Amino acid sequence: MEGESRVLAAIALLALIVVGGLGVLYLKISDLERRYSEISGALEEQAARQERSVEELGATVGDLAGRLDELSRRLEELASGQEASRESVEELARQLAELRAQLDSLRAQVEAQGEAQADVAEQLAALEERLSLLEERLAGVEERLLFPVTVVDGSGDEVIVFERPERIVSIAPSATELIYYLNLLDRLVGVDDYSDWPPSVAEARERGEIASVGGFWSPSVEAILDLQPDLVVGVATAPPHHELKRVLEGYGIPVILLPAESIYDVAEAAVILGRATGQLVEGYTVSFKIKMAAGYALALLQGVEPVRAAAVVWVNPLFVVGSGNWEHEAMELAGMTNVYGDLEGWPQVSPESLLERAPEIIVMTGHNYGLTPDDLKSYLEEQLGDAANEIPAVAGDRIYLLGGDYENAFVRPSPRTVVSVYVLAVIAHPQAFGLTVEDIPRVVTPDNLDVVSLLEERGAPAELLDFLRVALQP
Amino acid sequence: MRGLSLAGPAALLVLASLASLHVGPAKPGLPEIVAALLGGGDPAVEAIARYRLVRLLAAAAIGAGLAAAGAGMQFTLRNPLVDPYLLGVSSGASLGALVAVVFLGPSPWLIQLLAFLGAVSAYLVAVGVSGLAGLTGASLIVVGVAVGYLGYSGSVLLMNLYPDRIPFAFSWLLGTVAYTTLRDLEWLVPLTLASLIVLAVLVKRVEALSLGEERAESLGAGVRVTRLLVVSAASLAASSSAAVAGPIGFVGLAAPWLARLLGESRYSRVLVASLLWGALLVVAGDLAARQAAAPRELPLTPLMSLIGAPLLAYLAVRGKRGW
Repeated sequence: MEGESRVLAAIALLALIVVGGLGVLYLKISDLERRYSEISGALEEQAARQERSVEELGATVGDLAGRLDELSRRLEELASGQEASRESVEELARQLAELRAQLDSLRAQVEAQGEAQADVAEQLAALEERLSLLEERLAGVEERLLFPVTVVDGSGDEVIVFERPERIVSIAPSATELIYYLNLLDRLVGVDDYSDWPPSVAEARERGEIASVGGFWSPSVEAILDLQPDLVVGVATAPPHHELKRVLEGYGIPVILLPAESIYDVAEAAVILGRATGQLVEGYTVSFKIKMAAGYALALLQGVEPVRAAAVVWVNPLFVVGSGNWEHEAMELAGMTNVYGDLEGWPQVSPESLLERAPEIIVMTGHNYGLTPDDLKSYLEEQLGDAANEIPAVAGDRIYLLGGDYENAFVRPSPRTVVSVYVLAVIAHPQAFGLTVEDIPRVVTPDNLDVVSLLEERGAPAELLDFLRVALQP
Repeated sequence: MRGLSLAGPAALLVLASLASLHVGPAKPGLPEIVAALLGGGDPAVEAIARYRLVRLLAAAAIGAGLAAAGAGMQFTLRNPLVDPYLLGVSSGASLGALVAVVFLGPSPWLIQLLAFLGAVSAYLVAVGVSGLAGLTGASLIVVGVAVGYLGYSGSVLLMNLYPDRIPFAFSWLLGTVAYTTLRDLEWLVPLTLASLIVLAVLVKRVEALSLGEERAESLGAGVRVTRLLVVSAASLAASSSAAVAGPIGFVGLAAPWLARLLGESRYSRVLVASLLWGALLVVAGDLAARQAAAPRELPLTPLMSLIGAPLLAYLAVRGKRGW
């Protein structure tokens, strides 16, 4: 029995150490759970306070009106004789935002009059300061009404955000791009290593102002915890992000996984993130613009016969775009019929299947990894021999590689995705844009194919052109 | 050498554990971490402290469990090359866990149950096929590796077919403790302890086995029953760790070898030394996994073979010890 008892003693010792460690952890956890119950208690209280808050808001607005009356009296004294201005200020007492505009214009007038009005300018500055305070107070009241908020994210989970997030971590390039569109960059404290747009984010990461939390596929939990974020944003189409969500939620950090199964999901993602961060107006605006851009593409290509197309995401082995994702939808919106639309996701397919499915156009990604259209051609010739020329896209020499920002717009489910819809539309239907097939370069980048100008020539609305220009800014 | 065979790995394990609390992509070092764990430190460090402790405990439990499983299998099957990974048991367990996640939902006990069934099935297939063909020694491993590939391929296939239903990081396929939670430990620790206790209770019977089957029968150690129990316990250790951290290679093979190369030969002492070596290997490997490309996380199996395979080859050649 000597051997047995020795082993048992060793195991008992190990168990003691492990159980001790677990004990410490459970003490920590119970502390966290106590804090949670405190928070949820406060939450219920807050819910009960909601109505009172509305009343409070009314009182605050009344208060505001009183203060602004005072403001307008002072303004009257200071800028005597300016009848129109006084009237405007009285009106602005009811609408804060308009007062701000008025004050700005007043200041411009004072500045135009130079030194003589120095004391008026000084008092105007004091007024502006007070106005800012009032605006802040109003924002504070609004915020109490906006949070806590519950959103349903792309994983179908309800996510509760207790307070306005001030420290946001993005673990996907597309999430970082959406964060930019929602004017949230100043609250972004950490990103994954692939987030490179807008360029200011990549620069801030290199300077160390925004921390790196690792790769898109394997971000570091510890690096994220270190940033003490109050919101982490990922994408629902990345399995590792679900795992990360499970882990981080154990530390009380809300994680929102943005939906990305279609372009309309991308629009929905803007609303979800907008609600979760208090950027409601921005969220709905971006969502509306994405839908507008998609809708205009449909209108533009009305009556155009769709062409059979395949999108190759990797050459050896051959991976293509299937259905159930934003890339498939971008193709369809661009007047393409995805020949692999019956397969889900990004399936691996055989080179022979290209013979059978006969795409007239093949669009490739992978420019960032050094792939070229010739790589695909030589791979197909290697695999299929002379039969490769029976693929219409090979025979017609219509294999296109998306490069630069056009590639990123296509491969990332962000508001920029709409750019790729128009790029694909020009590739598939050059005649609809006043071009011929020969005009389309083999490697399509913003430098050699200016989609925005083409749309401008077709009389596209200014709103759409502005939205596309923002997406393509360097 | 013999004096060091237990004290050596034990001391190294303590050092590696302290290092794994001390080192990570985040700044806080050992003093801050310990203070936070004891409740006196900066509350901002607390989350990091908790995370590193969970990770350390998971790595130690998985390492000890896999090493004990390897030692148990090696002595029971009297085959020095056997280990849960090489026999396909770990891959079978991972496949079982994935099947549970994809088709039955993320219920922890179903995941553990199917992982265990996957592990046992893989073992039965590997040993059954080689037994029918009368294979022993290295040939058994060839069959085991084939079974392992089957399990691995099944897992990759499931991950490709149902990417939206898989909540695991891809590194899970090559083993990682980076995404372990306290809830995972609630399953991992009791199951590992249970399998270790079963292995400990069976120590005498296994030692009798090594005297030869006839001797063993005469000592009352039913060979078949002993084998069944040891393999079940080893499968449980392998499956509970694979369900949490994916298949992790090399540990079950290397730990008992390290123990033996440092002079141990009796099963009871090899088992104890293996526990320490196994925990040490995974704790140290995880340290490299989090730090080598920080803040990126690397999977464990490639790292472990990177550190361990040359060491194993070197020790095996230099030791020139037979079974």
